[in-house]
Order: sequence, then structure tokens, then C-alpha cells
Amino acid sequence: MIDLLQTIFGPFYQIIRFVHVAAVMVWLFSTSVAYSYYLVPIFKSWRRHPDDEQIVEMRNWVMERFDHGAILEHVAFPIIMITGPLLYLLSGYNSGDDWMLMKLLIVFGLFLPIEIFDYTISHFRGAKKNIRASGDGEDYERYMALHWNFFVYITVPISMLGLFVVFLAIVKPSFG
Amino acid sequence: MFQPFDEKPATYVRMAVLSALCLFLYLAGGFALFKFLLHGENWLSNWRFFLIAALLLALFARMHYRSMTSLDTHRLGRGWEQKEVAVKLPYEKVGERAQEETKPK
Repeated sequence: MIDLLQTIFGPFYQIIRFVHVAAVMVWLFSTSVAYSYYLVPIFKSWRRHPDDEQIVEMRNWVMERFDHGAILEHVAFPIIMITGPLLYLLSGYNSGDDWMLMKLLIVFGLFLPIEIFDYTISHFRGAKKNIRASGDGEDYERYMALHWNFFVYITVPISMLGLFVVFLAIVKPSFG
Repeated sequence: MFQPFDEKPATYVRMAVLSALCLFLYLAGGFALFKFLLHGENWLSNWRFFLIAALLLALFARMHYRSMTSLDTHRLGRGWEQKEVAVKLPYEKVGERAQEETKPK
């Protein structure tokens, strides 16, 4: 099976690498401006003035647009998860390389569960637009709070570990 | 069930420190364990690796705490002591700008 994959995809190694790197860029940075300059200011205002109707209305609009905007990031992630293992098979690097083992630990042990949770609260059970359409106001507020808590908690881990993974992939350091 | 965080600095300190500890155990411990299981290499005696990992994760804890307090409680500062800062509402900013524009020059 591995030999077959290597035979089929071997000639396309550089193209797969390009697709992988492009998808990583989209995954890591596609939501950064919307997050930093639209979502964060309105959520900070909402935390300070939770009963202000204008703020709540603006918060809802921004969050629903952000849920929609996260589609870019959430299309890029599966591409990374397909091209990454393909590159692993084709490149000859393995878990014996320190940087590769660390990268695998971060991607499969941390990013994968984080993204599964993010998919759920952005597009499935916690999609704010769908909850609003269902008319369940309490559920809407609950998921709004959950999503904000998720952002508050995850901002530093995802940005630092994301950059660390890019560093590992490019510099390929040894920890010995 | 899902409520915003309580805005008490101790909550964020606890979250940041616990996260850093869990990350340290998972990344440094997992790395050493897989190296031993898959390749028979003993990394437990490599104190430099664990020391650097611990230092990086201490830095991580501090940044994590500062980020969470800044995002959720409008506090800013250089260390673990964060001071509260004022946050203007978006329509207050728009109103101020409109007033400035209508002022006679």
C-alpha cells in the first residue's frame, strides 16, 4: 500500500509540498485580521457592557460573519491533513527525526482535537446563524459565550504552536 | 452551562499555569516516550532538553495569562500584575469622530 502510494504520488512531490504549504498559510492566517480587528474589539465591548443592545446586535453580526469566514480555515485544514501524511510517506523523513516527531505530536495530539471542536462550534452544533434561525435565544447566548471562551483560551496556544510547527518544518532542528 | 469566564485574575493564572504544565508533560514527556518506544533512545537523561522545554513553557504561561486577561478583562501590564484599562464602545468612537468632523475649523 505504501509502495503504491509512493509510486503514484512520488512524481508530484513538489506539487504536493506546494499545496501543503499554501494550505498551512491559509489555515494559520486567513482569520487573523477579522479576529484581531473586528471580533476582539466587539467582544471586549460586550464583556464590558453585556446588556447594551447595540453592542449585542453588533457582536451577533460579527460572530456570525466570523463563523462563515472560518470556512477558509476549515477547508485548508483537511488539505493539510491529507497532504501532510503524503509528504511524510514520500519525503523519507520519519519519527526518528526530532523535529518531525515533535511536529506530529503537536498536529495530531493538539491541533486535530482543537479543530474538531472548532468545526463543531462554528459550523455544526454551535453555528450561531442556525441557532438564531431555530429561535432558541438561550442556546444562542450559551454558544456565543462558549465560542468566546474558546477564543480567549486558544489564542496564544494556537498562534505560538502554529508558528512553532512552521519553524520545525523549515529549520528542521535536532534537540539532542 | 456555558458562561463567560468570571474575570477573576486567579482564574486566568490557574488556566495558564495548568495549560503550560499539561503541554510540558505532553510534549516533552510524549517526545521522550516515543523516542524510547520507537527508537530505543533514552531522552530522560537529557536535562538540557527538559530545561529548555520548561523555560519555553514558563514563557508560554506568562504570555497565555497576559493574553487572556487582556482579551477578557480589559487589563494590561508588563508582568503578572495587570491594570484595568478603559474600553470605548464602537459607537462612542464613531460619535467622537463625527463630532470632530462637524467642528468648525
